[in-house]
Amino acid sequence: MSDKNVMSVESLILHYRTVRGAVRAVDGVSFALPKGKTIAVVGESGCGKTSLASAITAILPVNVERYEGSVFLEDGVDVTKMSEDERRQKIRWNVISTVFQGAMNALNPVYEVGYQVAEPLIVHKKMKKEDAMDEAKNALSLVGLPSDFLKRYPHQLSGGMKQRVMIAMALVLRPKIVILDEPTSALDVITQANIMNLLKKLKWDLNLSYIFITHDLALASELADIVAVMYAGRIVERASSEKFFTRPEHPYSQKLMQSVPTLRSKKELEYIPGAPPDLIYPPPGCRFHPRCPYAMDVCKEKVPELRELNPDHVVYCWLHQ
Amino acid sequence: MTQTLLKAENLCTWFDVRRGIFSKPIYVKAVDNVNFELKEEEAISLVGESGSGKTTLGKTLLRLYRPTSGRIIYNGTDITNVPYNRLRWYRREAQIIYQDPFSSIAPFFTIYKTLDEPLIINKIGDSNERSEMIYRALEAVKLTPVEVFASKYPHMLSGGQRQRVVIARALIMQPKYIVADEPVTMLDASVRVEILYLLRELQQKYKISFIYITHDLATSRYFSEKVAIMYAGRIVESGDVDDVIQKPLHPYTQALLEGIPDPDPENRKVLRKVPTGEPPSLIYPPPGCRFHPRCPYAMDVCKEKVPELRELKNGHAAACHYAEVFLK
Amino acid sequence: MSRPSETFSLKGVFGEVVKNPAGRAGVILLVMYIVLSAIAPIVYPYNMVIENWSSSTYWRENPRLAQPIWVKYLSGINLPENIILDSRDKTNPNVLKASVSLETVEYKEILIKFKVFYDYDDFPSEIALLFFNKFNQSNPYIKVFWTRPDGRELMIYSGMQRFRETTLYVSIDESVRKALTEFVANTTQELVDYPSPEVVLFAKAEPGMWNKDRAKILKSSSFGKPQPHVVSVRVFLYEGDADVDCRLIIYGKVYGLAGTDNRRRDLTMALIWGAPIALSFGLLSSLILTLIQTFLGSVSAWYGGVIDNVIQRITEVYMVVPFISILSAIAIFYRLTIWELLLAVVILSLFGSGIKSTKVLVLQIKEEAYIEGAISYGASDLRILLLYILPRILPTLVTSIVSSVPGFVFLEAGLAVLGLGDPMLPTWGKVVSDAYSAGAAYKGLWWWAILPSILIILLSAAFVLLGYAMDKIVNPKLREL
Repeated sequence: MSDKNVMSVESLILHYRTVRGAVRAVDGVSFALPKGKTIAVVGESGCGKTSLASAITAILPVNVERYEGSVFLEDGVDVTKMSEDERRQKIRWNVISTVFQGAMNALNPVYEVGYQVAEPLIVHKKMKKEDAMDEAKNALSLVGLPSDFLKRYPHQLSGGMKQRVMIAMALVLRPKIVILDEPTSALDVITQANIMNLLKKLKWDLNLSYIFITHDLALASELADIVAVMYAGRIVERASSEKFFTRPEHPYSQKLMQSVPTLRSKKELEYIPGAPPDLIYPPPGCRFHPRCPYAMDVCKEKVPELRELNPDHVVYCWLHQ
Repeated sequence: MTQTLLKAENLCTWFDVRRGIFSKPIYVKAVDNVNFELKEEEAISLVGESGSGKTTLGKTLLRLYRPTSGRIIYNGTDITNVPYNRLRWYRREAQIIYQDPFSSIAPFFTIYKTLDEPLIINKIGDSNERSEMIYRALEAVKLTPVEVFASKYPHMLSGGQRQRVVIARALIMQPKYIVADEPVTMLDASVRVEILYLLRELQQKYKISFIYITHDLATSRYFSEKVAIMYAGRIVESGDVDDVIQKPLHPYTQALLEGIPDPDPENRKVLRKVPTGEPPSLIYPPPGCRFHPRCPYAMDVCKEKVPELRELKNGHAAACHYAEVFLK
Repeated sequence: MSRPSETFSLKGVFGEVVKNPAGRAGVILLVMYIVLSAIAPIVYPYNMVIENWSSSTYWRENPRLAQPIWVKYLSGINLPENIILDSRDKTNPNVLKASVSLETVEYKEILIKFKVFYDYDDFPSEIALLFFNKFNQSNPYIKVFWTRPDGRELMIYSGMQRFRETTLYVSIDESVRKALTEFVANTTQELVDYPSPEVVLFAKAEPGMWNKDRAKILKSSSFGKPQPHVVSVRVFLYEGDADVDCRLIIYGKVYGLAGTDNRRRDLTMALIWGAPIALSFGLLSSLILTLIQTFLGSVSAWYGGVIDNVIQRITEVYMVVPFISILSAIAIFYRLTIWELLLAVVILSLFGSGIKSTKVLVLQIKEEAYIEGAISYGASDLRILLLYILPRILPTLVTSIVSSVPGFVFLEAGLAVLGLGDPMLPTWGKVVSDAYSAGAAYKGLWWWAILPSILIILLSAAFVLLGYAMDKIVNPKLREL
């Protein structure tokens, strides 16, 4: 793994066992995250992107069927091969932390906000309570909340404030990598813009590396240096922001771009007929072929291989072979 | 020149949220002094964030809530205070499409039954006629083959398909206008466009007026010619969609526009210029203009006097003391 | 979500229940009880039960406190069953009735002989001779002789018959005992005051033959050719048309499928009849109460406001008031039949906690979009409650009905044990109550107490298992368990 990458994911696989069969939520995902950069993983609901977050931090559910691949960090360790204890002590929250979707409901209603932010310090780093609260105060001010918020309870905060608290909690141990899983869903437009501004500032000031998971392409462009489009458990295209937004190459990416209503330019919107595939019995070959306007015979049989169009633009599509 | 279908004058819908029967009432002023007009065959987008009162306004117009004060006039009839049991006829004229496709149809009804219920309740047609109407409605929303879909249960359909059923249910009563409350917000991006286009097509084909409620100003362009922006229970700007987007006359609209990103790789290098803070409490709203605590241009008069929604250009109105400044 | 449509149809729920092992067990048990309840009125017609359960004469010929017949096979001991011989029975070769001397108009002598081949391993519990006397004025005179298989003979009784029907309780009659005291003294030279006839007559002629723990049975088959006991009754009649018939009852120690109680009542009747009574009481109470409470809860949730307040406050008062105490007080002052008991239970539990739980459910459902949608196309309140809300709570409702049946079954049994139940009806609780009053536990009369208790427990178990299986299916959060 090259020096400037803070994380390298290789062929990550996560399948769940359910009554109906194995859900192939993450089915061979690979990407590299350079230090201080953001990769946006974009996909619709049901494409497996939230499972990707679990897979990277190895927070596995009870019914995991298959978990393979590697998540390499800077010093060469592989998160997937570590013991659970090691992950808990050394990796989670220390090196990688997560801001979850619907995070506003993740706050414990009976504890003060300050205590909840300080908790990882008390538990992980065995800090004394006063010191931990000091750190918590710092974390809160990082996210723009004054110190009197330490004593407040979650129900006294608005949605945007709660989201800021969640971000503070994620940063309190000063991790290098933050996974943001739809961090602004359920927030209104202006609050969302404020949170995005905050995330941008934190990224610049603290040199954070983000894995930004979202379904909103426009929102992705707010943070992303690299865009990876996920479909049915796989990455179908991965490119730098510039290359992606000017010229997406995968038919799915193209259609996604065309379905985003834009404010500043008038264009006809396009939609993708059909529905996302069943992750238990995905279509053979290229998983997008049933909905792809350019589907060829080979697409129905063989899984497309990686094709590098540029050093920073890869696509998995038979059109480019 | 089309007729006015629906008109709201100084409409207020306040909710009493006091605890205990014996304390003084505490009101959430969800809709506060709104003037609104919907013409025949017209589509208006009602844009606002959550808590702006847009959903409450839509439902008040439908008389699902009882207005606290003001008037609603539908086709010349004042329906403000008509009791619920005498509003049956109105329920046929005005329909609603809900946001959540998962909970807006009864999970234990087949699709057929879901569409049959409104007809049965309103005693429309005998069973053969109803059957025909149901199949025609399913065809109109492109859920074909209709017999197959009619016998399915909601959980067997995808979100987009369910939403089509909800649309079909609204259409089947042949209403004069439909309130669509965030109809595509809970759908996937790729399905959203499909449903939006379907709604647009149906609106034009059946000449139904639409009030399209959304928080996403970007989609309103694709749906309606007019837009009304709501903030903290009031309409702060209204007019043609293109006018409002290109030349917003209210600071809030400007903030909204600034806050909505388009897919652009340059976005990540700049901060968006949006006001900080949160929408105000609807129980104790700020005096004067409700946006003044967050407004970058706020002056003293804004803290004292409530700005009226006044027309500045043809059809383009704004509720700001300094709207003229933005005209230039 | 796995097959949510099935959670909304009762047929679907039933199908799922049968797949679940607990549910299967519950269904099997329940079916057994239903079969039992169906059999009951066929085997023991209702009128007959009501008439005879409390009578003393009907059960006369059953042994008292007899164990169930199958104990013989389980214990290996050949416990005696009832032996009944009747002189009016013309077909039985072991019964002989004949005139033995000249019949004149005024004097007749009749000899009735009963042959009893006795090969059981234990002594009878009692012996009785019933006499059916036809005469006008002159009382017949009888002498009863007992000839044992070992040839020893004694006269156990002689006396005048004064009534149409008389009974000689061989086991406790004074003169019989005197005769037997003499017999023992003559046979083994032992002097005993109150020897038990049923032991002495059937015991081997050895020392200790009067003591039921030491005496050994004199079996008919212990001789080369089986020798019976012969009970001879010599009847002396003084009128031409007078006649006497005799019925010998040698009471066994086992009887029927479930034994007998201290009033000689065949417990099988009570146990079988207990099933439909318990089932109907339990199901009816449960059904009526659940339906009423669901209705009240739904109304409370839907209309809110004053109606809700009133219903909830009444409910809270009900929940605080001690229900058993009031019920007991009523039952002490008024003898309640089982249906009156049911009514009292229903009235006293009307505003129970089911109202609160239904209200919570309905409140949640009420907020869902499709309810408002229904309002928007003009559905009436009643239609919404019945067609849109009720189907959602139906599976929970049925589960609740099923799960509360055991409580009522136990209630009825418990009240009967306390003596507050229906005195006329043979319910399981009543049987347990009688057993308890008679000290069954101390006296080792296990079948009297245990058999009805097992039936109560298994019926409750059936419903609990069913309810558990249904709850798992209907309440998706429990599915992972």
